This record gives sequence, C-alpha cells and structure tokens, in this order.
Amino acid sequence: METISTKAKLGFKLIKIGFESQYIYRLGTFFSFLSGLLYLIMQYFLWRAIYHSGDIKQYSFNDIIFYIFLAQIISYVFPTDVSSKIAFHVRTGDIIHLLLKPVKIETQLFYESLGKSAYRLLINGGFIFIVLLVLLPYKLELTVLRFFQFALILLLSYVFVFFFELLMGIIAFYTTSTWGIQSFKYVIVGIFSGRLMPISLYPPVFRKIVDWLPFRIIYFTPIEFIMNKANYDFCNVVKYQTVSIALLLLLYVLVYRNALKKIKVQGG
Amino acid sequence: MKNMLLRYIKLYIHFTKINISSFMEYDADFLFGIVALILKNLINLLIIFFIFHLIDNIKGWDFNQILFLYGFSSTSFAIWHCFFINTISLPFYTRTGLLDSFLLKPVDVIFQIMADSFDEDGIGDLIFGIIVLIIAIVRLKIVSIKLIFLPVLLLSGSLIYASLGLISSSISFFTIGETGLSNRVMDFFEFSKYPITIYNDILKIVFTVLIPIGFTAFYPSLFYIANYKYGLMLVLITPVVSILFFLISYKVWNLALRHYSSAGN
Repeated sequence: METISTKAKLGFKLIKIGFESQYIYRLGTFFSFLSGLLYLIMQYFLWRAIYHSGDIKQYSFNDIIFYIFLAQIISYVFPTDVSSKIAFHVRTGDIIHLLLKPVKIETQLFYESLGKSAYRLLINGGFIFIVLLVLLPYKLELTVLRFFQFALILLLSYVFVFFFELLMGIIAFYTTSTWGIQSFKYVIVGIFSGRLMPISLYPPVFRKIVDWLPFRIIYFTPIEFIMNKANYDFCNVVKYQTVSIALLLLLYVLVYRNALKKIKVQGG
Repeated sequence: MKNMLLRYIKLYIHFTKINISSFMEYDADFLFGIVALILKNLINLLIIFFIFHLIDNIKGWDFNQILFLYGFSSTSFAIWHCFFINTISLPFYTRTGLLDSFLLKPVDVIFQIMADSFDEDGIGDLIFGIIVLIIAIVRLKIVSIKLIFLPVLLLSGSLIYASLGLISSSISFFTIGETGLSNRVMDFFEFSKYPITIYNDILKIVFTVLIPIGFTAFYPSLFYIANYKYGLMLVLITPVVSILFFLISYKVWNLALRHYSSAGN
C-alpha cells in the first residue's frame, strides 16, 4: 500500500517538474506558439486558394480548417522531445546515470512529458483554440459521452506517441546523426499520421498503404472521431490502439535490449 | 575597396575548405542524415501531389509551375542552410563566448560568423531542391539562355534568408541565449513555397516590402513562369531588393551589437 502512495507521490512530483520546466522556458513556449500560428495562417490561405479552384467531396472548407487547427492543438499535447533527450544523453554518456537511478528512465520521462504537455495544452492549445473560435463558426455535434470517448482515444494516442519517441530516441545508440533521427521521425509522422492533411483526401494507393500502418491513430483517428466524419466504433478504435501500443512496446523492448549490449561509456 | 573584396573572397574560400574537410570525417551517420533530410523534403512535396490529386490549379498555377516555385524556394533556402545558417546561431556564439574571439580579429564580425560553418545537414536540402528545380525546368520546357540568371536569383533569395536570420539574431542580443526566435526563419520558408497571390492584401504587402520573402522565390520564379512577360525588370529587382535588405539587417545587427556585453570577465 505504501509503495503505491510513494509511487503516486513520485509521479506527481515529476509531472510538476515537467510543468515548471515549461514555465521557466516560457519564452520558448511562446515562440513555439508563434510558430504554430504562422503555420496555421499559411494553411488557412493555402486551403482557401484550393477551395477557390474547386470543392472537395468529403470535406468542406470549414471542415478542413477545423481539422488542421485541431491537429495543431493536439501536436502541442504530444511529447516531442523525448527522442532528442535520450539521443543527447546517449551522445554525452549521461545515459549511464539515468540507467543507474532507482526510477526507470521511461517512467521518469513519461511523467515529465505529462507535465510539459499539460502546460502546453493550457497555454498554447488554449490560445489556438481561441483563435479558432474567433475565426471559424464551426458547429461540432458533441455529446458529453463522445467527448470523454475522444479524451480516452487521445490518451491512448499519447501513450503510442510516447513509445514511438522512446524508440526513435534509442536509435541514437546506432547513429550519432541527431538531425537524421528527427527528420526520420518527421517523415513517418508527417505522412502516415494525418498530421498535415486528412488521410481520407490522399489518393487511393497511398490511402491503402497508410491503412496498413498504425500511425494514423496519432492524429487522423482521434480528429475524425470527434468530427464524426466516419462511423467509427469506439470499442474497435480502442482495441486497435491497444494492440498497436502493445506491438510497439514489444519492438521497443527488443531494440532496447540490443542497444544496451552496445553501450560503451568512457570511464564507465 | 577592390582589394578588400578580394581578400574577403580568398578568406571565404579558405574557411569553406576547412569546414568541408571537417565534415568529411563523418561516414554512415552523415549519409543517414542526408537521406533522412531528403526524405523529409519528399514528404512535403508529396503533400503537394496529394493536393493536385484533388484540384488542378492553385490560383491559376498548374502543377508544373508550383513544382518550379517549390524547387526554387527549396534551393534558395538550402543555399542559406548550407552556407549562411550561422546567421541564426548568434545565441550559441554569445553563450559560448566565441563571439569575443571574433570581435578581436581584424575581419568583419558578420563575415566571420557566416563563414564559420558549412552546415552539412543542408546538403540533403540542396540536392533535393536542385533535383526538383531541374525536373520542373524540363517539364515546363524552359530551355533558354535566360536560365543563366538562375544562380544569381537563387543566391539573392538565400541572402534574404540570411538577412532575416541576422535580424532575428539581433533581437537575441536582448533576450540572451533564447534561440526560439531564430527558428522563425524556417517558418517564413513555408510561406515562400506557394504563390504570394494566395494570401490576402495585407500579407502580400508584408511579404513584398516588410519581410520580402516574396523575393526568395515567387517574384523571381514569375520571370520564368509568365513567359518573361515582365521582362528583365524582375531579374534586376530581385538582387537589388535582397542586397538592400541585407544592408538594412547589417545595420540593425551592428546597432544591436553595441548592447553586447561579454558573458566572460
């Protein structure tokens, strides 16, 4: 019983550290908000020009703007620096300190990113949400139940992204090219998750490829679920997400074990 | 004046030689990085393919023309990324105290910063940009003597990014060590990939006069896209605008430098 309460205390403390670290770098958080805003302005005008040339069947202009704004808000929530953090510790050799700590490195990173996400959701997400409300009179048919289902789906997506970040991070055991890893991550998320545009608007061939991979649960599935676009069955979505997370976790453990064999720390 | 210019060109070649030999020591990692960067660029281009799967033009620009604009903006951005990216690394130089060593040398500080590094990460961008540009040129059948202006126009574009970098670096003299602002140069690159005509009037003016990213790709591309309708005017204006903007940012930078006090003793 006592261990559970100490664990909870530790988790809470780590979440607080993550939250506060974002507060200290609030200028950086502000700039990342600014960057998101510029991206959204560009997207707004781009899609306005696209709809000027012709209508698109499944999505109205308002739909697409809502989709892109929501994707931006969600992107603030997901952890993004776990992979670069691990890569950094691997490069400097500090990883050994983290491995020796009584708290698992994954646990520590998970709680810290929860804290960071909370801060970014409140501040950045909040601002973008206000911009969206002012800019777009969008009517979302949403029940309380559906909202909570959406929240749960998003939470599972969060866990999926977290493990994906961990996996990308330990690639640093094999290559020192940090830029390479980050670009590689961008490639996978950019095309397979629906971060940049709805996957349902992809040409059929690409649609098929994307459907074979689990990455669409990061952005596309949660957003279409809350927009009520396709008739998603809540239970099926959760099942699919759980299986994907389990497989990703398995892959992570396998790569991690292999990576630890390679570890060499100067003076260690 | 002429002697000075010659001296700077000689110095630059010398610096670049050192920088290139320093990145040759990378091997598989270097290749992995370049391949990943090319893939990253491909993904962004793929989105344009997807968009043209839905419609056949963006504000009157067909796929090949957009491809040309995309290749042009990617290449001028990549030139900046390869050779002038240090214009945004000022926070790094002030934090590490390297700026002090530059200030002590009898060569212009901005020149030293710009020549200090050849960023190998940019090579992936550069290869990608040039390939896209060549494909677009072939598809649009722009085979003309007028292509000889292309390198000058691309360089002018990259100089605008360098100027934007200098201005955002100047601001970082006041926010000490904060790198966030510098990355906005990358954000503006996003705006340059599409015709300026898609934006509203306010943004059109901003991108032409205040933050002239229209000249990094859109206006010079227009020269080739619009069948040289605008004559040599556009070709002449682009370098003039970019040099003017660079001189302004140079002034701003030097003004901000007065506020610099070393982190050391």
